[in-house]
Amino acid sequence: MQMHEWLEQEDLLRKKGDSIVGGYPYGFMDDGAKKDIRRSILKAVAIPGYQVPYGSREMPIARGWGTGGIQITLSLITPDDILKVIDQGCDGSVNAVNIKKFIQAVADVQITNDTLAATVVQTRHRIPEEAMSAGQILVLQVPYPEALREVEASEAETRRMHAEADYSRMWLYLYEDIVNYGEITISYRYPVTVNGRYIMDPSPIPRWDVPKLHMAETLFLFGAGREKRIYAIPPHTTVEPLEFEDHTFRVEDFSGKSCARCGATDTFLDEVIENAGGDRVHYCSDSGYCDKRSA
Amino acid sequence: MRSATIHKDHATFRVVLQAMSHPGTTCQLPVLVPIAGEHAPLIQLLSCLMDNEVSFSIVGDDAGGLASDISMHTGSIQSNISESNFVIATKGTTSGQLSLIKRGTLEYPDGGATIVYLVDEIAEAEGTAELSGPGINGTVRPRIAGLATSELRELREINAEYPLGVDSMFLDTNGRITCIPRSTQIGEY
Repeated sequence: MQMHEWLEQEDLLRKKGDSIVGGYPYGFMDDGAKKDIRRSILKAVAIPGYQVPYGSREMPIARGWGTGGIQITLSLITPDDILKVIDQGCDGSVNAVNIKKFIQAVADVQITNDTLAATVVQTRHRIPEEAMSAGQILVLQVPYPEALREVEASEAETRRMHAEADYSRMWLYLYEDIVNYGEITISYRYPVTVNGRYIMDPSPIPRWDVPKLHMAETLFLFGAGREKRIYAIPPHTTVEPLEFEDHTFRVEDFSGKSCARCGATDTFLDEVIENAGGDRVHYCSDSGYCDKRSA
Repeated sequence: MRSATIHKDHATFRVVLQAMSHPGTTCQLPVLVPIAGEHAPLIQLLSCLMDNEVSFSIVGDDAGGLASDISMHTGSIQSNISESNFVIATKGTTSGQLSLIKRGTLEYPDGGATIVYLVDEIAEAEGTAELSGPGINGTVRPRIAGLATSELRELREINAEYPLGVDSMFLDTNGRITCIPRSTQIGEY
């Protein structure tokens, strides 16, 4: 059955009966699954940056397409929520649209493109440009939760490294990067230290978004469905990108460039090749913010 | 018309999550579906978190068959204190048994238990101990009436070897909740 057929069928069932989706509990997952995820979320919040293992469930989309984020969203959503889902900053991409339709079908929530109007934002690979507030929750979809995987293939070994805060190999990796290229070349998934204790993968957000995690007003929840891990950064928590005194962390440089649509010079820009002639133009990656500025 | 029962756990969990991510602030559990009995707020709180995968134990008196109430509403099994995932302290004290409670391992610190203290009344200000750390903008000083005087001191001791530790929730008789996770620093008092 195709996704749209399933959604249509569920829509019919919903109109007939008094359940949100025929045959499914509120929020799609069974109670046991939701409780397991909730317990993991609370432990993740209590130990900022630590990856809590949990029993990741089958979702009606493939693992690797946002199932970790969806499971977190579904375990905490209420009918009073206003949900925004973005994919690489865009409200209108296929993945984001289908996740929105699915969650709306099973949890009866309102949908918005406005970051400031949303109570829960689920995102893949971006943090919205507009600063979020204390009552909001940002749920990030995570493909690779382990920041140390680049330097160590074994899960048992990375777990030991986290247990003992033995991060020397990560620092060596960054040092070798500098020796080879003159700077740290990690462009996304830039490793950070959370609350002075755990090195954490902030999901594949660009460097541009990393400073937004530091001492934020908002709760950040990270869900890796395929890898079965949940972790979190509570509000007002220190999040420091790994850096050396003489090679400090820096964000992407867009100086001299602006959004071809709204003219913004202070947002993360996507480079787009416009025509066969190969002209390059830039657009805001955060489409909701760009829409708001263009309106 | 849909009944609020189908998403009451969601609404309750959102409040608990808000409380855990903002330690020391006071949050009100939603009043959605009244559960009869003296321990209604506690049952409401535990119902969104506990099932047959986790165990609990009770410190203090088991008034009015609390253990069987919890088991009936959540499916969770009563266990001894050193093995329990959730510990319910009915009289605002763990009676010196805090050191028996699971604190997790360095590999899996999430194995540390959650303690739910039943207390008289919670307020956001004028408390004894100053709290700081993740989730707290500066410092907070919640007042937890009905909590044993030495309890916060003992919590500080047990959570000294971060990330090992226990995470605490304090629930008052009006269904207000405040949390002190292990990441919170408890000041001298």
